[in-house]
Amino acid sequence: MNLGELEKLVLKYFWQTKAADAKEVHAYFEKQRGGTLNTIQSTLDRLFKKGLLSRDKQGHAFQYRAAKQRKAFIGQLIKDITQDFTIGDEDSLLTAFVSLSSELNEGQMDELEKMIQDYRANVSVEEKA
Amino acid sequence: MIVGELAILLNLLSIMALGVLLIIGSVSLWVKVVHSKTKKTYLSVYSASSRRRILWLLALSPWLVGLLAASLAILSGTRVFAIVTSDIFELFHWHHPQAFTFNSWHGLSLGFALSCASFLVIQNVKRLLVNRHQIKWLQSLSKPDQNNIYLLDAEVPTAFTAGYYQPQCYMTSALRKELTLEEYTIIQLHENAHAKRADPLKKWFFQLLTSFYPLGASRQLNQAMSLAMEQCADATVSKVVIDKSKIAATLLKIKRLSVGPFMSILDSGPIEDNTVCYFGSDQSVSSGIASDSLSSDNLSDRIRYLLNDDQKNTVPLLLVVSVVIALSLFCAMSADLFHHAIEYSLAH
Repeated sequence: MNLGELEKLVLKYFWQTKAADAKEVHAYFEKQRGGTLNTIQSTLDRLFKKGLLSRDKQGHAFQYRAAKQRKAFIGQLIKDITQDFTIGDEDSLLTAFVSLSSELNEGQMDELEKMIQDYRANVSVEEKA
Repeated sequence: MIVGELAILLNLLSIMALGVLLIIGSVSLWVKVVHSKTKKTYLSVYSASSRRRILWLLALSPWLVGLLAASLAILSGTRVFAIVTSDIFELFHWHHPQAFTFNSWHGLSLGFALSCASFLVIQNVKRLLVNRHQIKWLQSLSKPDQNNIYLLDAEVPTAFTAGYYQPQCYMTSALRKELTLEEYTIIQLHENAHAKRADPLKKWFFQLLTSFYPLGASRQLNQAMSLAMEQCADATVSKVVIDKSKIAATLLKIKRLSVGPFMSILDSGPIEDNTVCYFGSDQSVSSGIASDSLSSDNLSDRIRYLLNDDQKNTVPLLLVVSVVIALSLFCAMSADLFHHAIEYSLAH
């Protein structure tokens, strides 16, 4: 997911605002950084096409709102960063503490739990000896 | 036809390309046949840091051998070396080095090699730039805590290190709220170890080098490197947290947190408010090189390695250097032999 600077700002705006049309967004950003209504309209349109904003028509104008909330977006972004750099489903360029994609079942995890407990028991026996 | 110094350079590149191809073929075969067929894990007898070095050597070996072979070929043509070691360098009979024809098998193979190399480098650099842009965006959505771990407001419990020039450690709020202070410290030390070693950048460079290999071999090498990097970071933590079982228990706890509710959401397909993401480096798919054949998962390998107090072997450096030099000599000497073999087969 590759976003321009204005797109990021507009998206952040919608995470704080429930819904707004192009004029309201323009009014907000005009004070901060200037720009024309056309620029805002095309930015909103691009974000809609990227699936990051949803919209519905009210009268003559579109009302936009965030299609994904902040938490969901961050989750998606982490996923995207990884997938952009994977060979198949592996080899992330992120170095994760624990891979979430591993297919360990409950039984295997219990086995590992037991291994840890055995190790602790052995260490305590050695310490007592 | 090109005659002169440029022709010498192009001929040297041909020799180098030949060396690169030969080593890529040999290593791929070694990875595929020796490890996949026998299901044995020769590299698992080595320590994680030794495995890392071996894997780097495997990734770099085509270029090292190619460069050495080309260097030997050019040195064989100089007067100084002819005087000093005339007998040895007589072996490198270099066929018409000052002439290069583009519409020969030399030209075609060099063109093919350069095209492939350019494509792969451009593709990987492009990905790097896109990824860098996304990481910047991710960083702008996070806030560093007092230990400089960037906290992300997300519902998937995970921690990772990302970034190339100044890698940063990230942790999600969902994970942070589940951790005790000790567990948090373990994760912090682990991620800091990755950041200090610039592992994300090294991973990218390793992927770039291994992208020249066939997909199967490249995947296995990358999986093995991922595992070795994680084990090295675990080993760094174990220098501070003496009780290794605490590190292992933290690994397992996070694994348990990440499955269950999160995996069930994942399995249920696209959801409008899908907060679940999962990423990378699952070594479960027969990572023949680095993983223990009995274990089926990256996490199992890490926990077993962590709790295993046996000293692992270190790399036999002398042997490795000897192999690289021997291969380079072979490539340099066989350049002319290969040349004659090709021309003989084309002429008949």
